[in-house]
Amino acid sequence: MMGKRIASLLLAAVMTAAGAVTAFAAPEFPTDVDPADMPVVQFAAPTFYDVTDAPLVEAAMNEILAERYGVQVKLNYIGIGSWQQQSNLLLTGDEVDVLTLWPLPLSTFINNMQLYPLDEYLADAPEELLNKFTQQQWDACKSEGVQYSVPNLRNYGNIFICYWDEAKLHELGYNEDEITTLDQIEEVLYKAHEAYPDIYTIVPQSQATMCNGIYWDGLGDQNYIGVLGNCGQDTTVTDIFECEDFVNFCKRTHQWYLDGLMMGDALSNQENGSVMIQNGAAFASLSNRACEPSPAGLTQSKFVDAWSDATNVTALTYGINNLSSNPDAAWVFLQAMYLDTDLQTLLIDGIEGTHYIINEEGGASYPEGVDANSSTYGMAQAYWSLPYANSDVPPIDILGPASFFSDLIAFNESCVPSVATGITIDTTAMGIVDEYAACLNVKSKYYDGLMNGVLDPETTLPQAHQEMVDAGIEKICEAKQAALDEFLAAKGE
Amino acid sequence: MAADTATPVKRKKIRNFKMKLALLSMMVPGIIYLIINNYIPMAGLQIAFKKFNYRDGMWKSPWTGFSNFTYLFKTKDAFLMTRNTLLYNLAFIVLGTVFSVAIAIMLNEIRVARAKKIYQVLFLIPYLISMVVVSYIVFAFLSYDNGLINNSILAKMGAEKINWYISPQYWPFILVLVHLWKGFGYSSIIYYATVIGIDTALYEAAVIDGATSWQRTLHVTLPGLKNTIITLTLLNIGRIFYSDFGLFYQVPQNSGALANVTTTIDVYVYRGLTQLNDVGRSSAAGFYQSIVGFIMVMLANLIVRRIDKDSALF
Repeated sequence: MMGKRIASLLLAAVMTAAGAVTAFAAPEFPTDVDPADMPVVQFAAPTFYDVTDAPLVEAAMNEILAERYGVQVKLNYIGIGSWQQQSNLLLTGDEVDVLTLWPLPLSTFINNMQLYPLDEYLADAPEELLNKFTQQQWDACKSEGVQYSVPNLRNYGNIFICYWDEAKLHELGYNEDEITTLDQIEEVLYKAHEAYPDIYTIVPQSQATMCNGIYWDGLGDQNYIGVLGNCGQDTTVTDIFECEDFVNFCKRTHQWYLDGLMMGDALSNQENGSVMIQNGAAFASLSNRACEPSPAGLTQSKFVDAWSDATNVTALTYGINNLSSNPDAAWVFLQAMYLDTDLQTLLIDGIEGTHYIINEEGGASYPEGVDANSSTYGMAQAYWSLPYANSDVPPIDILGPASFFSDLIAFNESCVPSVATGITIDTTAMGIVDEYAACLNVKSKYYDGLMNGVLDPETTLPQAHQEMVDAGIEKICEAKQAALDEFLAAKGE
Repeated sequence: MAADTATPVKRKKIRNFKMKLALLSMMVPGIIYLIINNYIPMAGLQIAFKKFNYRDGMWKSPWTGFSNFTYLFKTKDAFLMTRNTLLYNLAFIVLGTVFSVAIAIMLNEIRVARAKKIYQVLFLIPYLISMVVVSYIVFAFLSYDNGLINNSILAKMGAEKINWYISPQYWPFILVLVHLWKGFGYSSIIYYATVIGIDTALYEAAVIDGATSWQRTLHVTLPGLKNTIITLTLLNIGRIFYSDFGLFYQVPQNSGALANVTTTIDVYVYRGLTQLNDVGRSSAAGFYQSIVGFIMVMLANLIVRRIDKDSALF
């Protein structure tokens, strides 16, 4: 009797202690109630295609959600053109619970207090979820030690390549795999200019963007106001217009422009470079990619190895609205979207037999005669905008082979990270918002013109740098440098 | 005694009010519209003085004084955007008025009713086209490689091609031209409505007195248009610190090389704040524009009142 009492006392003490350690319990919802009485999570994401069948997908997801998690979801897809405005409006109330944090920087959402802290949920999250990402990637979604969002699966880094018109390149007698430097690319471009004088030799990657960053890292800032050169391996923050890699690149493209290789309308261009090559209007275009194959008719030569800048991970993440009426249910749904293959497949590929079929390789294909644009649920190609595709989710064949998602995970592991990966720069807290707004205006005056070779770097670069100095770039660089030094010191580097 | 005289007056007032009730009730929708759209949102002006965050919302976000305004005046861009906004608007007001009045008078001279209607429709069409579409129409003319001007005009003249989108010296003229082309149809219709309202007896009297067509325009039509011109000009002066974002951002295809002549206050704020999503600073820019606009209207009206009291708005 006495032994039993002591045992029960010990048990109670252990339970109390355990309770103290896990003061927060992972939220759970009963699955044996009517689905109509379950909490409904409002999920919002941008879409690039018509998704008229989203209600069908939603109904299929809700069957699984009701059975396994005790919550329901409402899928709200918003067209890409109005995504930024509409998602911003949604965040002013409780009409959205879980949403894509894109295209504004994560720090903007955090500064505006739009996100619900996730630390309590993650403290109780299964290892499987935590293991999806490295500690560095999780830390990148933190600000002042608080976790605000969860990364998704995309390419976290890029290789930089030159796309060629495959047939013309081979006609000129070149092998794409033997071209590995910008000097070699330049040689081919001049040959192509002689051989095909009636088409553009090289065109921007898209619109007026010559190529999305190549060697420079904005430390959490895709606008490159204060950068690290040398693929994010330098540790000194400089003005983009003084960054050696940028200066050298602009000198090269300006010579291309003077020699008639560049598209004259580059600054007002509205088309994608790869599409212009496919249409026979251009010969080459620089681009950034992960492990996707080249589009039909194009081939590629890599000139910069895979590296990831400080913000690649946080460029698109998922979070919970700070004004959500039921963050617990939102978390249960969000977590399921990272762990439940059935739900992930439904959200990404749609319904098997209706929106995709499993092909012989084990990947997915659109039904015959259908593509992402004509499909009634074409999200498979926009997997990168959705929470997570584990390697059991069949990728749509346009993206690559059935192993595409595993290849992508392997690619991410192969990227050389910038020294600043994981840093968060808060312009508001640093008191540099005014300078930042002014520098953005200066940068937008010169950046594309210089990258496309239209402006003469000899005269323009000193002028652009001086305007940046007048606008306050030195204060921004100092603030970013201090943050970087502190970050590196904390990392022990 | 006093009560006896007051009662009939009061009764008269009530009778008057009852008579006008139907007319007054017609004002109600307009007043409701004004209250909802123009007065209630004024509470939002406080955002310009707050460090706005979405959790605390408009009412509870902390106050931050004038710090949201500083970015507008901190750099030499402040002069650039103010100069551009003011000078373009001045050009638009002066040339727009002259152009629209001239068109209205010419429309009035057309005697064939059918032709008159066709012209009106043709003039109005550019006003109805979105600025994005206009930007592509302009691009069709100015494209370096495929544009009409470079390929069909300059090439035929043996002149060198011009890369319009990196040549800022042409853009003040291009932008003014595009603005006039797009807007003249709408404002000329307003002036035309006034022109056809001018008493025809005045024209008949002028003809009897031997006035030529030009003299009739100068001494009958233009004085008849004076009040409308003043009203529309005063309204335009109220918006002198605003700019048509589409005209200055879309039409030059957001070409950075043209920034010195295309950066107006709205464009500057858009370029500087889109990434930061800074509601406080954006509101501060709007607040600044409204205040300056208000002051300009008051000043302009004061000047008009000094010169000709009857023509002033208030």
